[in-house]
Amino acid sequence: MTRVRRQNDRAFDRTVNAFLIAVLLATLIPLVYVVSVSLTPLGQTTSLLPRAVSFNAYEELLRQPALIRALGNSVFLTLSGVLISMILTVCTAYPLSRPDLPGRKFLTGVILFTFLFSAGLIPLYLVIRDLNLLNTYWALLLHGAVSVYNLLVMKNFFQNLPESLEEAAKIDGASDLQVLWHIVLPLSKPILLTIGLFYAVTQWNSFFEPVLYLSDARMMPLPVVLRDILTGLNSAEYVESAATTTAPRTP
Amino acid sequence: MTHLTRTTARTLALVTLSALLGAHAQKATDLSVALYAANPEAPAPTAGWDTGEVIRARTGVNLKFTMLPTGADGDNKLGSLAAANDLPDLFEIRNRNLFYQLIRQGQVAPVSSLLPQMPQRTKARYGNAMRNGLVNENGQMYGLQEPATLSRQYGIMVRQDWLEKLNLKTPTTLDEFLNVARAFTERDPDGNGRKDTFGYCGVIDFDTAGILPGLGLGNHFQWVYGAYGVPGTWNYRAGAAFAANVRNPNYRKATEYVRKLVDARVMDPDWATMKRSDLRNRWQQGKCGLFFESVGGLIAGFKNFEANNPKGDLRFVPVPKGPSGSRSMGTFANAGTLLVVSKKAMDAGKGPAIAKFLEWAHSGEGYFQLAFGKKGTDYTLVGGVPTVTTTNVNGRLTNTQLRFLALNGQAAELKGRYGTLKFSDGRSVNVYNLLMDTRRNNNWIDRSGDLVVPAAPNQADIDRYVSESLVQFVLGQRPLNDGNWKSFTDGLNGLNFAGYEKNAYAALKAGGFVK
Repeated sequence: MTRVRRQNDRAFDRTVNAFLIAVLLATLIPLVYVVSVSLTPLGQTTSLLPRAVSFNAYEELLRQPALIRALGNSVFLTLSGVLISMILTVCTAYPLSRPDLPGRKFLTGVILFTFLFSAGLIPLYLVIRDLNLLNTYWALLLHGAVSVYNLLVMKNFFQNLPESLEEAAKIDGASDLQVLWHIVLPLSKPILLTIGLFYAVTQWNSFFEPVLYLSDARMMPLPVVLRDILTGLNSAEYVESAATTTAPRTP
Repeated sequence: MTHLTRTTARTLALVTLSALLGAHAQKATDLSVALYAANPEAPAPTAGWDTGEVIRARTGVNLKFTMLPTGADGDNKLGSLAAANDLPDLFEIRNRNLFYQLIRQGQVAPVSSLLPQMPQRTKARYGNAMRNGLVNENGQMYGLQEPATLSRQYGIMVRQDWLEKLNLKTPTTLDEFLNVARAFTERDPDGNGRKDTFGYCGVIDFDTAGILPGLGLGNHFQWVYGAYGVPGTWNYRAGAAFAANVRNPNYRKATEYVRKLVDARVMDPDWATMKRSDLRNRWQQGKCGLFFESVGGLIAGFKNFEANNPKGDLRFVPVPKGPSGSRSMGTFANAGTLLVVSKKAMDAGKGPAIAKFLEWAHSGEGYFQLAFGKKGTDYTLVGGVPTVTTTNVNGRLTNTQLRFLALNGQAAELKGRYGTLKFSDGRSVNVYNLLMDTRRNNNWIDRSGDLVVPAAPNQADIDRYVSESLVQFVLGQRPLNDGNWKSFTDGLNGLNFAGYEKNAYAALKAGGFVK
């Protein structure tokens, strides 16, 4: 009886695994195709796997000075954005996670309110403008630096850490800052990495905020410049830009 | 000269120089200008931007140039700036609904007072009453509507070498077109032993640069609707019986013809979801026998095309005739860039600086600098035709980011922009002649009036409903019979299409576009 059940279990496991592998492969197809298209020599028919490999597309792309600059901007914005966001989030989540913080529920409620009801695009723009942050990276770094969702996730994580560890540290004479630095943060690496990743992805993909707050095109991050390149490719006035870089020069 | 005298002279010279520089600095006007960049992928202008320096020296304008993103992002940006009373001094608008909205909100200023301050530009560009009607509201002129410098550059291209190889004639009617497309699909015109070519390549494309799409399948199929006398959205010639073309029985016949192309499998099976860049890849790879393309697209793809098809030969075919002899490649608007001045700028007294800058950009040094770059570095004049010489492509493109302020569409300019393409075997194609051919030979219909038609409150729903229904019909997902067609046209009533038509008629009549 036991053996029969085990065989059934194995069959079930194999079916589930096969299904999941199929799902995985199906998910990978578009990604593989994109890589394949990028490696296919210019002008050749694209297929799921390239018949010949060429790095011309990458060379062409990297030759664009605007792109390199935008890449640098994106890296800078992502690194500094994650740093600022993490500092602000940790420094807000930790006190809110302490039961002895006066007005804790009220403060959490106020923060939660902003999560449920957004001020909207125009008031945000006015705030950024009146703080003289237009056309500065601060507009992108400070705007949305703390995500309420991430903050609450982190606060809940901090709340679940054993209180005895903090008490023991305080008995040994540690200040609140020392408790945070030496006890809480080392124990919170998983959540720090997760939230850090969330912030990094958000900052890296940031598109509309740069378009709205920046007017100096040299400051634009990668998504904006990539979109511009795609716009050029699909433009009716294609000749005005790309023709001079990809086609023979007219006499 | 004693030491004292020399010192005094130096001091006097310094004081005079400072006074001059101070006077110059006082005269300089800061001007924020937001435009859709001519070369979006080119690097942004740097601090020592040649063109910026020249503009400052010649017009006394400290130009702060912002590149607007195309599409909804650009509209949202302008909308946000307007809501914050922070619009640029001079800017471009492509979304006319936003334009009229800004007028009603009092955010943009009437521009009539600028016209006498830029006499040459006004004479050349703003003298057409019908075109100016596109920017008039309550008797005031609220925008500088440039004429289109490069419309009607599209056409249907054919692989002439394939025609010759298969002993076929250039198609002139819809039936001949289908026969040639079928032969290109089935008779292995590239001789590679595989059935991997397509008779006709077109995509659903609603780009409005120089060509106006109608409701439905977009620019690449307008020639089919033109062959049945119903290109574009509106029937301007119906007088009081004005209506949308979609209500005309011939509209269904045109749709049936597209269905025929699909049923005959002469089109890429992915055509309904492909983008223009995908189509360009296809013809450059040598997969398309007939395809819809602009002259600019031909130049841009020429190098790849030749590499893949060394014996390839591309020509434009005259737009095919329909059963009753109608023919038209599509509709166009004789309206290019629309420039608007913010009320804030006008109130701040920046009008004269704006006029001076635009007048400078219209002709002479300003025109060449903006349109072609730095003389001697980026271009030279050969027989009066500006000819690109630079090897620093990105530098030139940066210098010409503002070129839509300057371009005028005159013959010398077009010859400079559309030169000769040379095949490696010695053949050549004069692209300027191609451009002239496609303008002259395709019976384009001027429907500039479309631009004054107010968008319906549910415009996106109307567009989607018509477009998706037609795609279903031509793909065979929905049988194209009397019942289904009636159901489709009846469905327009639920979208208050009649109200949209009524408003369109009123606006077109008021603008003098229909009687």
